[in-house]
Amino acid sequence: MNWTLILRLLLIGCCIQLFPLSAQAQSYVISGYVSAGSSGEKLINATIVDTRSQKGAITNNYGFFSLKLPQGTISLRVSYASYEAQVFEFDLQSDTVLNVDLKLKSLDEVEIVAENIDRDVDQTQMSKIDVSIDQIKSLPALGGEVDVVKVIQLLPGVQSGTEGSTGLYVRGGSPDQNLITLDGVPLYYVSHLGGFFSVFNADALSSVQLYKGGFPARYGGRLSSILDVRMKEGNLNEFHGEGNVSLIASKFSLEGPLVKGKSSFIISGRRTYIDLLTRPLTRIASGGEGSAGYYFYDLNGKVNYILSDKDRVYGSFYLGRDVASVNSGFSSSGGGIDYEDEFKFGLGWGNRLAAVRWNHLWNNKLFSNLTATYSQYQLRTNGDGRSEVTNGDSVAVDEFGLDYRSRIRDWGLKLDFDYYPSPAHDIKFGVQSTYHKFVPSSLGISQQAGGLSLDTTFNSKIDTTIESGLYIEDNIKIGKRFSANVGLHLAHYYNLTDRLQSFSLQPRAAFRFALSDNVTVKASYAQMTQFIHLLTNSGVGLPIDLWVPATAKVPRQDAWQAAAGISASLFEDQISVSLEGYYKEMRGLIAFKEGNNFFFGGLNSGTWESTVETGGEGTAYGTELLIEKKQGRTTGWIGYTLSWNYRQFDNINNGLQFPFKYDRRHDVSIVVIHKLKKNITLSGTWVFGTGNAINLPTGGFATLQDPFFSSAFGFGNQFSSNPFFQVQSAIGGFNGGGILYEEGRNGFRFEPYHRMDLGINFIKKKKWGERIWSISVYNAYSRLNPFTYYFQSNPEFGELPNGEFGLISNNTSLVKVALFPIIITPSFQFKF
Amino acid sequence: MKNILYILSVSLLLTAVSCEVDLEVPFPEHEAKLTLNTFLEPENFLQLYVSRSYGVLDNNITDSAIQVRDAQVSVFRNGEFLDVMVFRDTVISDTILEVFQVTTPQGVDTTIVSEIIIDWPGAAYFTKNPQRKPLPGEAYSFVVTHPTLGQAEAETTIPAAIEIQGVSLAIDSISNRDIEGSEFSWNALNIMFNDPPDQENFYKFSGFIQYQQQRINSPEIDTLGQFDQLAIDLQQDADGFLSRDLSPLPDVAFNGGVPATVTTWFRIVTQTFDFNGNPVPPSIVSVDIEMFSMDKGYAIFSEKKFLQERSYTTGIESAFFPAEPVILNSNVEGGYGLVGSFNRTRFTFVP
Repeated sequence: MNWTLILRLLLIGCCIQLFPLSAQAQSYVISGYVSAGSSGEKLINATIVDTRSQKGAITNNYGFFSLKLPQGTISLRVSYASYEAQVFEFDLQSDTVLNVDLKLKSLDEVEIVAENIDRDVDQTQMSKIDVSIDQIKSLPALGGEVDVVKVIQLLPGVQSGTEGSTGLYVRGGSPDQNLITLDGVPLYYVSHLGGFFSVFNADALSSVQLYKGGFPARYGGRLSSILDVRMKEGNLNEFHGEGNVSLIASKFSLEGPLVKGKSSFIISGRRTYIDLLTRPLTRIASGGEGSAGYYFYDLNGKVNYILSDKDRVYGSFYLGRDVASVNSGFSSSGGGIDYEDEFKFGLGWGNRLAAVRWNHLWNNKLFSNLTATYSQYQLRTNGDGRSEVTNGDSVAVDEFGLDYRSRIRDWGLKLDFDYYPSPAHDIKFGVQSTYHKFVPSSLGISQQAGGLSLDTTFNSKIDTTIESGLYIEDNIKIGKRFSANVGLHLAHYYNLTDRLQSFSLQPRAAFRFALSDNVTVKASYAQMTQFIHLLTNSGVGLPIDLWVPATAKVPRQDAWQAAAGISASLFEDQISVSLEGYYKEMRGLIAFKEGNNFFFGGLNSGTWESTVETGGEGTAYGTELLIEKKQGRTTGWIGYTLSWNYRQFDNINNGLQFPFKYDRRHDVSIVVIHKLKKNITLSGTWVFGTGNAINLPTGGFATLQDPFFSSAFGFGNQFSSNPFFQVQSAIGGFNGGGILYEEGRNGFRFEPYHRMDLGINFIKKKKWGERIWSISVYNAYSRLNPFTYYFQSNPEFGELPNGEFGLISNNTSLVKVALFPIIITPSFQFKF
Repeated sequence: MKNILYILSVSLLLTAVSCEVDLEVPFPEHEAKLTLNTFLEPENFLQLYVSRSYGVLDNNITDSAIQVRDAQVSVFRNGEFLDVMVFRDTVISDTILEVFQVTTPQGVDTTIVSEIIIDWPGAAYFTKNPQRKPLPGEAYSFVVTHPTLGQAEAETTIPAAIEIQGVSLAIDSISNRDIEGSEFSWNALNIMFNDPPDQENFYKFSGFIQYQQQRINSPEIDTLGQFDQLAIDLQQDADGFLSRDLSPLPDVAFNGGVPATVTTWFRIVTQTFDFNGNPVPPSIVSVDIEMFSMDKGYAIFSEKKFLQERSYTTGIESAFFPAEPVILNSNVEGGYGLVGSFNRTRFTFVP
């Protein structure tokens, strides 16, 4: 990277900033908030443009804007998607505060009209997508549970994991490389039910933004993407509620004023009831001696209080947890002896987070936000067993318990400033620091048996780290055609346990040049550093994923990404087209060593660092096409990604580069939402993806016994027994030979994945509000997409040619497991 | 309302039947290739095991089914043709000399030579003179051709003999606790040897400890049993856990040092007591050490084979949390298998 060039650009930016300050002495500042008129909810990314000078601004994450304009008559247009635009014409002769309440468009409107649509061609930022909550709610959903992450997976450059999974694989990255924040607080695990649902309850959300590249300098700590999810603030003026009942879960949200016009709240909860069905069924199946169940819940809440025109405070929290349990029992008696056994197993994981923030408007150009955060992710597995043998007066009791936990806790503080010195500059700067405490694994064992007592806990190495960042970025506009966002992010990391210190200076830059009013070219460059790793197996994605810090033995991850593209707005802004190419390199990746996993290799003996390969490298590149229609009765998009994604570790796959599990050459998504009538909405999605790359043995070969093990100190020799040790059947059990992966790691491909989902919403207004009946058809043409593969053997025995009875054939075959053929689910929503 | 009930009941039905479907799918047919295997050492014959690979769906994979007896095999030494190898299915008898270096309690180095007769199994390709043995420091390559399985080639260089120059013992160097909370002392065995600077050798150590229990009326000698190498640097964390590494020790760890030193560890689990019944460290009678000096291919194979076997033979947890796949290394061009070599050194240490 050419550091001189970056410094020059920053210098030029500063000079350009200073020039207008002196030259435009007769300019004044218009500042204020843009809110939704009905609820008082602040609108993020609303557009404010002086149509005469074509100078403009957008609101920040708290709905605030500041725009410096020359004195004289101005015509200020304030707009936001789905809201009616307002135009203010007045003579600007002094600094002015303008708080704008926009009205939501009438629900009777069938079409989304042309105005107010965010134009990608006007934005400097590239590789960023705003996902509409309304769109999320309109699309068909598995089990009737609309899901933010599932909709994001439909965007180009974003790939899902396996069937139904909520994992996000952005531009060749892995899930741990996504910074997923809820109201600015990082979430570590965003999946429920093994990945079929995400933790985000759409009813409680106000905005979702995804950055795939060209990251602004204010973000740091992850390599591949930023998913910035914001919760609603709650209605300042009146009480409203909404709920949803589906086959697997119900949810309810309530919002309203605490002090009308000054303070509001929102609280939203969701719980599944799969356990209510499975517990009685499993109890019956086990003859009353056992049961099994699973459920998850989410609880979101937020309050805010307007202290003054310049001060506002917010408090928000999230609690979510998955709980799976199995109870079993057995009793018998005979010969005067009674036996009783019982066993309980539990698996649970979840996040807890809380944030308190204070917005302060220092003057009409300087806005600040101070945030204190707490975040916790914990995984817990526990098992308790008890057996009792009664023989007359004698009772013998054995008890054992096992409690495994993995946890990460964060305490963070950050201070962000937005400074608007002139229409040509929008400067953001700030500082942030987070204290992490990692307990990658803690194993407690207790046993009471035969007079022996054991009660002990084994903790893995506990790491405490401090991760801090300092950033500055400037959104610069030079003339009507050119704009840029340049910045620097300086990160500092200190592992207190290992006394390891690390600095990282990460330049970020994004440029936009307008070829015409409707066509722009863009380019971006970003360096990112990540001081945290996720230890995960490449196989089944159970929540046995352990977050671990960068240590002296396991260094940090780094990446750089360059992207370039062209955006066009066609047919009077009816259609927007974006074509982007990207190239990304990652260093410092980790992976479990070959032959290791969660249980093997010392993880439970306290040394997770010895189980991982470090120094891995990743390369990802590709092209993304997004054709989007945002207006009219029919809206939606077509996304296509052509990509390559590889990994290389010195000690994995014999040092050869191999495809990443989610290396997907082609990825297509088509999303259509059609408003058939004012009260009926149809929707459909179709996805296609190249099959995942997995490890599947393709054969075997003979190997010799290792002379070291067979010949220890002369008590044997290397060929003293049968020299051929072979895999008689790769699925029938290992017999000492070599297992063959002909194409190496991830050398076998799933069949291509494709699926169509359909949905229909019937909306009806009632006296009390509105009700919506929805029907979702998941996998409409019942494509049996692979979830996993395994080998199955049906041995056939009979008379052998030598007349003896024996194995004639293994009849081995490859079996594909498909999870969901077609699922039709109704759901009922209501709003008041 | 009827419609709603109808939709609900159909949906429930479809949901109930749509959990998991298993289907047989086609799998690419395996193209068999030659597999060459041998671990050459100066104490053993020059031999090569030739077989064919097989597909995961193939049936009735037996020793005889995969043995290749009709290949043309040539062996080269340092790039020059040495001999043609022929398949032999019969046992070959051999007399080998086992040489031990011994340090007596008085510090006197001595050498013990014993003669052992061994019957080696056949089922491999040998030179015309089947008792020809490879020489240390020489490079041997094999070229194998077969009418249907094609051609495969591989080469290995026999490591030079390594001399163990001295051994020292440090009793109770480090302690840790096991899963039941008991404390154990680990004893450090420091082994000095000459690591050749111009060879990329990898090392593994094994041995036997004999110790004496100081029991009343029973001053018997017990055998602790075989120990495998642990690590160059045995690490202990704050909770007393030790990290172990069973990998061969890489050459770079020694930098061709003369003498190079490696520390390996063992512990004696059985508690020993003095005549008053107080626990005391056991008295080490002798330590028999065998050191393997391996070529790189064998060293990597040794570790990977162990890991691959472990990942496929562990218990029920592997069904839920499968271990990462292990891709075995091969130095056979045009086929599979491993042609490796090693040299062994034995040493008996009497404290």
